[in-house]
Formats: sequence, C-alpha cells, structure tokens
Amino acid sequence: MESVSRRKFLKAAGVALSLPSLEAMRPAMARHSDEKQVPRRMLAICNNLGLLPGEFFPTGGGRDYTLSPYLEILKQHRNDFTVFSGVWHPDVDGGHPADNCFLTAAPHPARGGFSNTISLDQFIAERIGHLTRFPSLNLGVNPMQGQRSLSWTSSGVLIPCEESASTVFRQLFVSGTAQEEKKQIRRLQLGQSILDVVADQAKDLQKSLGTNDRDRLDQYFGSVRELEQRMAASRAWEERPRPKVEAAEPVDPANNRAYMEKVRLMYDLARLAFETDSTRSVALLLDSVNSPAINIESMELSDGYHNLSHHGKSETKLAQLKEIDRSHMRLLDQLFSDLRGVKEDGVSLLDRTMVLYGSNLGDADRHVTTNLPILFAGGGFRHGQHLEFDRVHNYPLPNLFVSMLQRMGIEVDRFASSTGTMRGLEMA
Amino acid sequence: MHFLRIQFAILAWFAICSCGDRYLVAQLDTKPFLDRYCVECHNADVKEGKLDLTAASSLGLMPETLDRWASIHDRVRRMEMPPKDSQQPEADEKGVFLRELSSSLIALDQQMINTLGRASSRRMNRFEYENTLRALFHLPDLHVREFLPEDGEAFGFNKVGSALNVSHVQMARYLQASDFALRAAMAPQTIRPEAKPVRYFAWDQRSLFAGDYPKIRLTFPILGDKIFEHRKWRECTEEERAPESREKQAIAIFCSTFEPTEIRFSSFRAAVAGRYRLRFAGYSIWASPDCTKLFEGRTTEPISIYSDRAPVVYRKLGGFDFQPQSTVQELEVHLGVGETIRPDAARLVRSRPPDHKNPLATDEGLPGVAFQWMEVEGPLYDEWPPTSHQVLFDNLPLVDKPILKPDERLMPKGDRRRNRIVAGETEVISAAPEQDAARLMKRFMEYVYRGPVPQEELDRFTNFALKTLAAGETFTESMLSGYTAVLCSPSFLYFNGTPGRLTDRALAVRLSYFLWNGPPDKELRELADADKLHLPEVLAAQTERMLASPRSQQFIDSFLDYWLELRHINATSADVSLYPDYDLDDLLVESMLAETQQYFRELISRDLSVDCLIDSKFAMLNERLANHYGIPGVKGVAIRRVELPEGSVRGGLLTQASSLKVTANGTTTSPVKRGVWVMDHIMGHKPPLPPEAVPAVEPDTRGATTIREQLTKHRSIESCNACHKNFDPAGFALECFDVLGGYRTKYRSLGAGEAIKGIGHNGVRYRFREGQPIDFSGELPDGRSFSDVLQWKQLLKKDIEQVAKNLIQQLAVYGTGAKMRFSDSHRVDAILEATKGTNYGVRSLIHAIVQSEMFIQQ
Repeated sequence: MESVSRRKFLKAAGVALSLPSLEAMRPAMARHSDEKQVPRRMLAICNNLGLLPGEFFPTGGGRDYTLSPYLEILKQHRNDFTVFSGVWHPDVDGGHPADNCFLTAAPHPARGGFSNTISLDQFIAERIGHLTRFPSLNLGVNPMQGQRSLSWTSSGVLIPCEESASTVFRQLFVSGTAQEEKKQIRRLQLGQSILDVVADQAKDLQKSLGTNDRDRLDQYFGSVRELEQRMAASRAWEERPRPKVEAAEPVDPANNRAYMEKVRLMYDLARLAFETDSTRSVALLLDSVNSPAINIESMELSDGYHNLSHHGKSETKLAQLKEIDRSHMRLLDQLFSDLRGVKEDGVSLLDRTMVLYGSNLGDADRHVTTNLPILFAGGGFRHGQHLEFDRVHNYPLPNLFVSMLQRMGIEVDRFASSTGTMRGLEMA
Repeated sequence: MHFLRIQFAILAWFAICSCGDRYLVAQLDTKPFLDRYCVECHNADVKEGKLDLTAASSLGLMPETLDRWASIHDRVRRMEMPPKDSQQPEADEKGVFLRELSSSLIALDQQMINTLGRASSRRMNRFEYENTLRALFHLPDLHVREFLPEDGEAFGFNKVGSALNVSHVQMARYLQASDFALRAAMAPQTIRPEAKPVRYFAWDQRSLFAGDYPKIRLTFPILGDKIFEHRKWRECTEEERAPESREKQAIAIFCSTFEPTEIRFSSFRAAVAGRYRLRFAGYSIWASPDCTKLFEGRTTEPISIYSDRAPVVYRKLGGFDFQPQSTVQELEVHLGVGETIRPDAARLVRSRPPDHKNPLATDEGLPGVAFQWMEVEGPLYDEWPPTSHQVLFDNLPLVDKPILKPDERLMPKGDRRRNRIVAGETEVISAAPEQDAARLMKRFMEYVYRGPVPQEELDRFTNFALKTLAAGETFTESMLSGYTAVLCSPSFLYFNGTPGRLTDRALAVRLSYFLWNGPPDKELRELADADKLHLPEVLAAQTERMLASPRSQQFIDSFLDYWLELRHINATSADVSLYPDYDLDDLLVESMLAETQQYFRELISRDLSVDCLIDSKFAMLNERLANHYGIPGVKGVAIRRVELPEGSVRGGLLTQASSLKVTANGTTTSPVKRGVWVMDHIMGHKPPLPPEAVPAVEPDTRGATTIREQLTKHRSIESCNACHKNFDPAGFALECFDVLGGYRTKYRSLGAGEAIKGIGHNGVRYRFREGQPIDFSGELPDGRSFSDVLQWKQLLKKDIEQVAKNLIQQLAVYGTGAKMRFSDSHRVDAILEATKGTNYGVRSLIHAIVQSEMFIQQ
C-alpha cells in the first residue's frame, strides 16, 4: 500500500480520527524511517516558585544516585528522566522577573534597560513550525497577563499565554472562524508575492555581478525560496480540516484556587496536541506567584502560594509547601505515564517528546536564581541519571537548550549564553 | 576570470600578473633559505605548527596560499622565526628573502584586488539597517534592530561580507521589521495631535503608592514639610488635597525603582510615537529613621529616567540630579506608542529579601527623594503630516481608520490602561491610483536606493503594488506591500560594487556608513551626483563635517562595541557572594559605558594622540564613576572632562572600568584574558588560540593560591611560556583592578582572609574576605620590567607607533568592510608617516584613512 501522510489520510477519508485507535492506524501509514523526519517535540514547563531544594535534589551523582523524596514519586519513570543540579541561566538575576527569561536566558531581567530576547519555543517554531498546523502553543496557569510569559519574540515582545484550556482545545480540534482563516491565508499570500518580487530582482542582479558577489546573492536567493516554501506549507494548513478527537472539551475551572486542576488540564491538552501532531513546541508557565491560596487534595492551605514560598523556615508553612510540591510531582508522574501510553510508529510519545520541568528560582524563600531545580524527561536521550555540577559556580542551563535543539534536528551550536551542549547528556 | 594554479616540484615563487587571460609568471627561488632555516621542523614528519614546507600543496604562491605565506613573512620579519635557539640567518640573507617574498606577495595581492575588489559585496548589518530606516523616515528613535538576528563577526567587526549571512529566518525578520517601520512612519491620525503641556502629579499616580511591602520599599505622601504614613494620605483634609495645595504635594521614596516597587508616571502613556519634552519637579530629602519627620536633603540624588512599555520593555532615556531644593529638570526624548515613564532614584537601595536593610541609613536617618510632578509636552512635529508619512504618501488626502484598543491580554487586570485608546491608524485616499502609485514609488525608491533607479526596477515594484490593489487590497495596504518589498530587496540590503576605484556615489555610501553608520544625507548625495566628492579637499571637508555631526555618535558607539567588545558590557554581572557591594548597580555600568564613548569622542574632537589610549591626564567622569575611581570633587550624573590627580592609576582606555569589566567574568579576573585583550585589541598582535588539550588556568575563589602562582607554574613549561610571556605581563599590570574596574591590592575570597561585612546596594547583609595580596609587577618579553600599572603604561607608550598602526587597521576594517591585506602594509605605513606630525592624532588618522587607497577602492 502506498504510504500516505496522516494528514492526507484524514483529508481523503474524511473520518474522525478516534483516539486511542491512533496506533491501530499507524501500520497503514508511512513510518518515519528517515531519522530526519522523525517528529521531535518539546514541552517546557516553568513553575515560577520552584520546589523546595532540600526535598527535590537527589544525593549522589551519575546513574546510581539516590532518589530524593520528591523524585521518589516519579520512580516508575526513573529511566525516563535526568535530574540536574548546579545549573543556572548565567546572569539571569533579580528574583521574580527571571521567570520571563526561563526560556530566553536573557541576562538581568530586572535591570532598567532590560529587553528580552527570543525564547526557546519560538526559536523552534521559526525553524520547524511550518511542519504542523500550529508553530507553537503558549499556555499558562493563572498567568499575570501582560507581565509574565515564557514565550517571547526576537524583538523582546511578550507573547500572551493562553490560559483557557477549552479555548485552546477548540483552536486545535474545532475550526477557527472563516474570517480569521481567510485573513491568515491572505497575509501569507501577500508575503509570498513580496518574496517573488525580491527574488526576481536577485535573479537579475546576479547576471551583473562577479563570482564572489554572486555567491552572496545566491545565499539571499536561497533564503527567499526557503521562506516561500514555509509560507506555502503554512497556507496549506489553513485549507485542511482539523483532526477530531474523542476527548471531550475541557471545562475551565472558574476559580484560580483550582490551580492543580488547571495544571492537569494543560498537561492533557499538551499531550493531545502532540498526539495529533498539531504542534511540536509547547511552553507552559505555572504562575504560582500570581496564584492565591490554592486547593490541594490533602490539606487546607493557610496562605497564598507566594506567601508560603517565603517560608522563613516556618514548620507549618514548609509542611504546606511540601504538600503542594508533592501534588506537582504526582501530576508530572501522570503526564509521563500518559505520554508513555501513546504510541506513534510503534514508539512511545514520551520517547519523542522532551519534557523540561523546572523553575527560574533555586530557592524562592530567598529569591535565589542559582542552583535551579531542573528535571528533563523523554525525547530520546539516555536518561536515568543525576548530572551534578558545581553548586558554587553553576553550569549554564542554555547548554541543555542547545542539546534539545540539536535533538530536534535543528542545526545550531549556541543559544543565548550557552557554551556548548549539555555535558553528560547523550542522545539515545 | 580565474587564477592559474601552478605547482612546481622545486620550490619557486610566482608573482602573477594579468595579461589578458594569460599570466606572466616571475620566478623567485627561496628554496635555499627555507632549506637552511625552516624545513628542519616544518617538514612532512615533524610538521611543527601544522606547517609542512616540503609538501607539494604548500609550494605554489596562489590566492589560496597567500595568507599562509604572508604569515611566514611576518613571523620571520618579527624575528619570531626561526626560534631563538636555532641557527639565525645573516641580516643580508634575511633582507633579500623578505624583500623578494614581500614584492611577490604584494604583486599577487594587488592582482587579486584589481580582479575581485578589496571588499566583497555584503548586506547591511542590523545596526546599519536600523540607522538607514531612521534616516529614511526621520524617525531617530525607531527600534527595528531587535527584530533581526545577531550578525556574524569577522576580523573583529560586523562589517565583513563573509560573515553577514542570510537565512530564511533573517528573511522572515526583514519582512516583519520593514512592515513595522512602515506602519510607524504613517501619520497616526488625520489631525495634528495637541502638544500642549500636561502636568501629571505624583499624588495622582497609583503606582507611586506602593503595595503591601516591607517598609523599606514603601512610598510616603508629602505635603509641604509634613510626611504621612504609608497609605494614610487619605486622612489629610480637603483643604490639603485641594488644587491650590498641588505645589506642596510630593511622594517620598527611600528605595530605587526595582521589582516590586515599580514607580511610574503611569497616568501618562504616549498615545502616538514621537518626540516629547518631559519636565520633572522634585528634590532630595532626609528623613528620621522611622520616616515620620522630614528634613532638608543632605545629598544630591541621581535620577535615571526610563521608558516602560508593557510588558517589560525598558529603555533608558536620560538622567539628571535632584537637589535639596525643588528644581524642574527637562529632557527631550522620543517615545514609542504606549510607553510610560519610569523614574529611578538609582543611588538608593534596591531592596531584596531576605534582609531588606538600607545601606544608606544611619542612626540619624536616611536619604530619599520626593517626586512632585512630571509635565509632558508633545508629540512635537516639525510638520504635519509627519515627515515620515510624507516620504511614503506625499500629500495625498487622509481619513481616520477606526481606533484600535490595546490588546487586553497585554494589560494586567485592574490596570486602567486596559480601557484606554493607544493608537490610531489612517488610510490614504487616491483618486488616481495608477499615477499616484508610479509617482510615489519613484520618489520612495530613488531615496531608498540612494540614487536614480532604472525604469524596469520602478516598474517591477509599481506593478506589484498595482497587482495587489487589483487583488482587492486598499491603496494604502498595496503601497505598503510594495514598500516592504523594496525594503527587503537585495538592491537595498546589499552594498555591491565593481572592482577598481569607487564611483562618487559608492564613495558617499562608504563614507557615510563609516562615519555615521548610516546612509548619506542630501549634501553628500549632491556632491556625489556632481562627481566632486572624490576630490581630496572635498572629501576632507566632508569628513570634518560628518565627525562634527551628532550622527557620528552612531559610528563611535558601534565601532567601540566591536573594537573593545563593549557590546558585552552587560553579559556578566558582579558575583553576589564576592562582590555584593556592586550588586544591581545599574548606574555604575551605564556610566562606565558612557565614559568610554565620550572619551573616544574627546580624542576625535580634539585630535588627541593615540597615546591617550594608553594614558592621559584627564578622564570623562560623573559622580558615580569618580566615587568608583576614588577621585574627589565630582558631583552629579553628567559626564564631563575631569583633570586627574597626579599619580592616578586612571587615564587612558585600558584602565577605564568598561574595558576592565568586559575582560573579567564577574567573579574573577584573569591576567590571561585581560592580557590577550590588550595585545589583540590595542597592540594589534592577536595571540594564537590556546592548544586544545590544555585546560584553562582558572582563578581559585577559595583564596588558597593566587592566579600568579598558578601561571608561574604553567609558564615553567617552555611551550606554554612561548605565548604567555607576550600577553601575561599586560594582565599582571591590570590585576590591580577588580571585576568592575575598582582599584584593589588584595584578592577577595570566599575561604581564607580577613572578613569584611556590610550591607549591599541590594539591601542584603554580606560578608566576604580579603585574602592574598596582589603582585602587580611583571616583565615584558624584551626584558623591560615594571612594578605597577603606572610604570607599565609608560613602557607601553614607547610603542606608540604600533598602537597607532593597530588603530588604523581596526578603523580600516570597520570603514571598508574588508580584512587587512598583505599589500595594505605600505598604505598603513603611508598613513603613519602622514600623521606623525600630530603624534598620531585620532582625527588625523581618520582623515588619512578616508584619503587612502584602501578606502577609495572597492
């Protein structure tokens, strides 16, 4: 049988793609035999109040490390994640404002003359975004709109977080308005015709130039053509029907206290987006700083999340914080299991999805932006280890971003303040 | 045309001259010299320095091997080769070898320049792109470079074609940046906005009533000499709150503007982008320790003014000082749509948890500032519709488009700005679209393409705009699409040229992107059109005019950004454990950058000698820097010329805080890094890269050993010492300066040493230790020794000609966008000769470069 892409199949068949029968369809479709075509994805999560360092960081390095109390909750996935200690974003200081730099690593976010730089999810979207309907998704739980986001453009413009799971669900699986779609198609068409005009000029110019100069112009011409192809690909998406899923549209909790429920919904949504290959880049900000006294299963909380984080070693506050952190770990455990449970080309979705979980604060009590708690799961790496770096002179976390980009097949050797790829982390 | 590759079995040199499509080949036999002095190490077996002078591939002299032979020539000339312990050639023998090699190299190099041009074609870099659009639209504060990816760098600058690549990402960003610029250029509304001054009183600013914070971060209402408790101002009487009391009202603050105490005059927000005049009324104060009693200020307080665009984009607009008496300070600034104003009393504490202590507080009380009001006049336009709009649409009639509301998601809930109008848009009406499109496109393109444009090019873009119009877009949108295409087209983005002497138009472009880092103005273009610009006296007069223009700041800033790597000034910050006293001191870092920029301007304006790069009797300082340098008697934030006290370690470029900061990593200083920087950027001797297998020598912050001890050990290995002896001494001399350029005699440490305690600018109690004393002495490779930085500078000054030569080369790479070539050496020598009379005055050097053959040839 001739191999067809899943999208073509969906269009031709016009049938609802029912999950979880996804795997059943797989054999009928082209396997991603070429390593370059294997879909690679990223989910980057930042909890801007972090985790209690004493409970999170494990003891002992390498593969024989001892799980910490928090990591004990994730123990069934031990071989699917790597935990880091002694890492930071160099010179990203200033306390809370550092959350805006979790995926950008732009230094000194609280400085008077600060302007942010491109975030990892947008960097990915610019390069492989045309392969999916949505170049990226930027999600948030209780985000302080207009002030915080993980997602930033190259010119330092904040990309607002989408905080309603139901809205995102509708964007992913129910059509957008005809007007919006028409506008988008028109915009891309116009972009393509602009590129046609400048490509024509480049062609004419090439005739009159010497060898060296021709090479320069060849490069220009090639870039124009490449961008045109991407725009054509993006336009094609607008004309294809959206995938159908069996999952019901989520109901957004009305109250910000339902923080954990919102986190769970966003995790589900991210998984669905990956499962239907709707996007390959998701950023999720858990704006704990902006959250009230939240609901958790096992305990009534006395204080707002932010106030609790400045625990000043108070036993009652620490006990509540631990309970919150443990809830986070349980949700993460569920996310890993869910991703592990979905198969694509006979490979688990987790093995093709890099999940970065961490914080911009190493210790929220003191606003410390060093020794960040960072957990990195899935995506096709040799996990199951604790990579320990110097706790006094931290190792640059942007190096992990470079490793992630390379894993996605994006040819780069630096991102922000990186100095190379992540030492000790190997692809599987 | 291509170069003939000839390889001979016997080693022979070829100087290649063009003769139609054939080459005349001159032979030069250097084999005896190389056999005697070189091949013992540089042969197929030993291959010292990866060089095999017996291999067939290295025999011929051709374009591909020219650089390698040039390097052999230079190393023999500088007596680095053959090594000291090997047999040395006789002076005569060496002279002949060098002379003949040199003339062959020059002949080939010149041949390549004639055929290919000295500079290849290149695209604009992001700074040039931004400056070009700014000049084009008369929008001096247009920000578009942030849209574009960082440019590649070659030979130290962002000006060389081989490093200025274009990817599909770059193309996509050009589309965004030009669309943004074009929309910013359009008139925001049909009627000229009112520019009447409006006063915004501090008492009316919600953000001046800080939230539920620790006391150190609070704000306090003032009425005359009365100070109210935080948030208790509502208790004052009707009379006190009456408009007549306005002048007595103020808001007091004892900390600087830093998260979460975000002080803003947020009831003002620029509705349209443009030029504004801002006036600030306020004064410095002194309060009792509990902030309940108010006294006359004991200090002047520096106030930095930033713009603040939601969300989180800050930009410094300027600064001034508040005095103990109320004064009104004025700034003329450019604001973007939606920007508000964020004042920052920069010297006051930036309070951080957990301590929230105030380092400036004493038993008697604490300093603070009182803001009374801000007055805004603007937007100010020279004409209406704005010049930028006329560049696009001349005087065609305009109508208002429905007004846009701000994106609500960008505004925090409860922010009053959510419901405010931020910007309008206009639509241009054309009664005769075809004629208007052709006319407007011609005007626009001739300006953008810097000269007359062939008809087929005009047609290309006009037809595109008309096709878009036919497809159903409005006239405005169709023209904007056409303009976007022009601003993304290769004829705009690339500087092309044919080998040989530059045409006058090309010369105008080169001169302008050299001294203004932007496009030529009308005067330059007219001189070029009249074919007069190349005349030496005209060129000199233009150079003089351009350097005197404020636009030359764009050259100075951008040149220093690359030459001295000042663009990395914020790349690292002082380590909080070792240098808590520098933490979050933005004013210091901003001032040090301004110092170097103003210093270089001073060298140009007064044509001061390049020996001022090494040492000078003056510095360009403000109060913050003077305190940092320990120089008394300088008050206020303005940078001004200050004569240095006798025996000061400052003076010159090398001991300015900016140079010292970019050569340190925030935690430690390394003599290696600083030494390499001095040799590379100032002396023009770029040291070779360190061998790969050798680990870097890292300073020990525990304080057990000094970097000097570690380096001494490292240098006991002869192969390490061969290079380290050249650059370490400069680094040793500069070890008397810490990571932010403060003077020191001992290393700080986290382990051993005497404990120093205090409270940082960040409000946190600190403790670090002062450990090992520092040895500032050293010995240059030629044996001359020095005991400290003062003596070292004196030794360096003796090599003034080399310092001048390096600056010429740096300026020439920047100015021509081409690397320095072997055949340039005699042109550089000619510039040195011509400027010797001024003791190599910096402005004289620039003049001589502009007149040089390097500059006036492609």
